[in-house]
Amino acid sequence: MKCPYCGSSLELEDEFCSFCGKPNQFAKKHQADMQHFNREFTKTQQSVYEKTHRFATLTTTLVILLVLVILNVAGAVFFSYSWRIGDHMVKKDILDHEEEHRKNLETFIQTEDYHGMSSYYNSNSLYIADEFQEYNAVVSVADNYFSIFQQLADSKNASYDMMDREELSSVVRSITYNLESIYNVEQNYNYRKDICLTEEKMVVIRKIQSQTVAILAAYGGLTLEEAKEIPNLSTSRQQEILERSLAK
Amino acid sequence: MKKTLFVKIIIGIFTVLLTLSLILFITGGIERIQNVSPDFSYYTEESYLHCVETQDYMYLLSITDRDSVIEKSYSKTIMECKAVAKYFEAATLYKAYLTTTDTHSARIQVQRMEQYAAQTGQFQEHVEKINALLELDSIGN
Repeated sequence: MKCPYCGSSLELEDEFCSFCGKPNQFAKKHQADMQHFNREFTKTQQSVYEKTHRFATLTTTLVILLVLVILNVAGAVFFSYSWRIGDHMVKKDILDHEEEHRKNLETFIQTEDYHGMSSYYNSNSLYIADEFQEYNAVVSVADNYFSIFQQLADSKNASYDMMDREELSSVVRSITYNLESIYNVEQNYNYRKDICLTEEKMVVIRKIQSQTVAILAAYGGLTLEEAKEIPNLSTSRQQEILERSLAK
Repeated sequence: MKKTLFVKIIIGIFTVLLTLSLILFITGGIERIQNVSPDFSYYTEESYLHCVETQDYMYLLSITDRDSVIEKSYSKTIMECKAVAKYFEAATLYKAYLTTTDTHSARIQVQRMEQYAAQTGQFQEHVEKINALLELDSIGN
């Protein structure tokens, strides 16, 4: 711009003309305008910053919530499938040692260590794998056999002559329940009979039955004849004989 | 301002609840995976020793058989305790088979008795104690 008095060049910000020394009448207005613009600018800037910050905070919060919801859905799916995942992991581990497991089970059977076999089967969760289901009935019979073994052969803890009638009846009921499961396996066992009750497995089951007779005769107070006959008797007759023999 | 604070509190509660439920889902899932196969870590050397010391051979046999996870390593002491338990089982069965005069099965149990007696190590004395408990003068007679 030019000075209205002398015509020399002036800047808008100059308060006086540097040539003639007269005041620049536009400078004051310009300064007021600039201050106004600066204030407006700062206000707008602050408002934009605030809005952006609020938006960013809201977005971040929503994103965190969304991520948490997604993770919860994933967590729920993981939880509902966790049995299957565990099952799959155990199955894989069993199949990795399939031959070793089979060899160990057969060794237990060869040495007539039937409780060792059933415990090994259960401890290693072999019931999970289809490949070992053929042992299910044998294991079930062996578990029932061991229950009788524990009841009768535990000379340290079993003192039946000291028991009252109620306690003795309870023990005898438990033994007769086990006898039913051991001797009537063909009638009572229904799961996959085609593979669980093959002739080969029945040979093992019959050996467990013989072992049960031996335990009844040696530790149940029965004569050998009574022990051999007891599986053929009715439950009430079994209870009567066992109560009498254990109370001796 | 009040509304903002209220929204913040609600969001905070939601965040805490979602985080807690996520932790529950994950820990619950891991626990279920671990529970698929039984855990026998609670059978320590002390458990075995306690049974041997109290001559509770039946419970010793019970934990010996249950604690038979493949590839699990056992200390020498535990192995010797396990041998005591298996000796007890074999001797108990041997006596039972003598009653039924099943010589074949009795012979199998004698073999097991000899095998486990040799593994009892520091607990060798329990072989005699078990024989005395079962009133077995000497195996094979």
